[in-house]
Amino acid sequence: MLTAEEWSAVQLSLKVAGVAVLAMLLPGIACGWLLARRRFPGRSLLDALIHLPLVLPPVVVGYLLLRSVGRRGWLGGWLYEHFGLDLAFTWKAAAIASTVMGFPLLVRAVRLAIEATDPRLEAAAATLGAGPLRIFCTVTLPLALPGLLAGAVLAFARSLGEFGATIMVAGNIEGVTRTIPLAIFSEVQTPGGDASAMRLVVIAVIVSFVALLVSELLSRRLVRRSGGVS
Amino acid sequence: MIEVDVTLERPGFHLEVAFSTAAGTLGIFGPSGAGKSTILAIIAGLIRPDRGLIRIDGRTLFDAAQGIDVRVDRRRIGMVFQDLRLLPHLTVAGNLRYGPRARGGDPDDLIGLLELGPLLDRNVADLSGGERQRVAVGRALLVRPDLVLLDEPTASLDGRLRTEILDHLERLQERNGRPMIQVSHRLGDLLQLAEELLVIDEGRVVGQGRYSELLQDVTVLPTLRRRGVVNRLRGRTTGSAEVMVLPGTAIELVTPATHRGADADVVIEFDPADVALARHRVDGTSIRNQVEGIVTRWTDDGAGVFVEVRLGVEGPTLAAEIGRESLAELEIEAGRPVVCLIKRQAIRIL
Repeated sequence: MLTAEEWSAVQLSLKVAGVAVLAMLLPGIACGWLLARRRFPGRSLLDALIHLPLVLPPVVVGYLLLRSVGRRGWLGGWLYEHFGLDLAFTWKAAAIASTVMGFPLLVRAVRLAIEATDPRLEAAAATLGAGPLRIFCTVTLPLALPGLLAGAVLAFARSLGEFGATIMVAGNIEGVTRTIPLAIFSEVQTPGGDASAMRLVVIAVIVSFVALLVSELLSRRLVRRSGGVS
Repeated sequence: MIEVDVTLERPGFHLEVAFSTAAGTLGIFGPSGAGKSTILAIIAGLIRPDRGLIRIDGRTLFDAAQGIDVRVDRRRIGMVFQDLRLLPHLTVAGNLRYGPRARGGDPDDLIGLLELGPLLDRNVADLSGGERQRVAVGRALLVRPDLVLLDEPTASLDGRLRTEILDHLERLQERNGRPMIQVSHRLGDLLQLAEELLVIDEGRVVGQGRYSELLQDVTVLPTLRRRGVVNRLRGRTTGSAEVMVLPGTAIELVTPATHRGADADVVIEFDPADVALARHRVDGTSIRNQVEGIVTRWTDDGAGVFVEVRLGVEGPTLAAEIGRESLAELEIEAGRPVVCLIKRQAIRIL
């Protein structure tokens, strides 16, 4: 049904999005919790910084990333020098671009989910002898889990569609960094590539639709559960 | 020994409370908004006072001067919240075993006492009000706290369930012997457990002591009155549905009918204003209860006279509220024999 090139684009997309979501999970939970539960100086600044990729043109984000992780960038140069790591124009750079672009969506979902969990339950857990970490792992996180998963699914879907930042920092190398959106773009540019583009479009629609559906189901479960608090 | 001396300033609210108690159960009584629950939250460590000291059995939990503020989870204070706060994602067993210290010791005894055994695998959302309350109590006690705080443990319950949970608490108190502080705006609910009362109003201690003492204290009486003063006595049912005997005495009271069979322990309540006093037994009256007693003391708080009467020889005491004219007419003084007239309809069986 799919050609080898198309199939490789689908696989690469799933891999990049999967790695991006895994990479953003821990910092995303941490930032979401910070914004939901803590008042500290610079909180608004952190909030704005996290949400910046949502409002900046993706190409701008991609450019900034390229300047950072490219071999002459401050981070890329350091990584290359000490670990021989070259990130730019590899699938890893695509994953980084997806991480940065999807991060605000995850943080937002985690924050809302944690805000929806009742702090009085956390206080009750504390009186039973649970310390802050135990409370987070056994009360806050389980109650916020459906919202958190919904956020992860959204970020995953966002990563699948990531184009502008990816093409800047990872390029459009077939079999290496050519994800579904890049493949569609390339096929449309190629004479006779319309059928191939169409197949990839259908796949993109299906994957995104399923992701949204899963996300919706999970948030509904969160609402029901937090509504069941006595 | 529980020692509390704290100050908390909030916009529009000033709390300044100092008390110490060695009572097995201290009842904190006061009108809504008096600061009762705030005191519990401060002791538990959920609200930080501006100044002061909290010490339990010599262990300092909070001392502003020395900068001591033991974290909530290390205070070893069990709390039963007014809104219960059962963890909705855990079963009954999960809630009971939540506290790290709940896993030591032998929980079966407590679970049996609270009749929680059959509920262990249930989801907390599927429990009735009384069941939830018992789970909340069990959860707080299973962590073997140094002190148990009960915030309006009967507020969400009515009638039979209220006395049921109080009976459970009483049995726990006898068995476990952990000191408790119970907060309520219902005086009657405090009287079943509390050996000592702390009366709070507008963020201040109005009085502290045994109920019978406070009823004779003119500085405390106005606060007690505002929420309705009650007489609360223990009774035992007899063969007749409408006759009750006061345990340890031969005194019988005619009450509204109960259907609990003979020899059941019940708690009865009636208001001091529903007790009339007479010098002698009265003939030809609709009042069914005429109980002889001896005046032990009386007090006049300006709005009314409260007379304390000991029923029979060694029976319980009750309070009667009478007018000032009657005080003179009956020549009320300590040691005077009187007859207490109590209407059957005035008696509430809990």
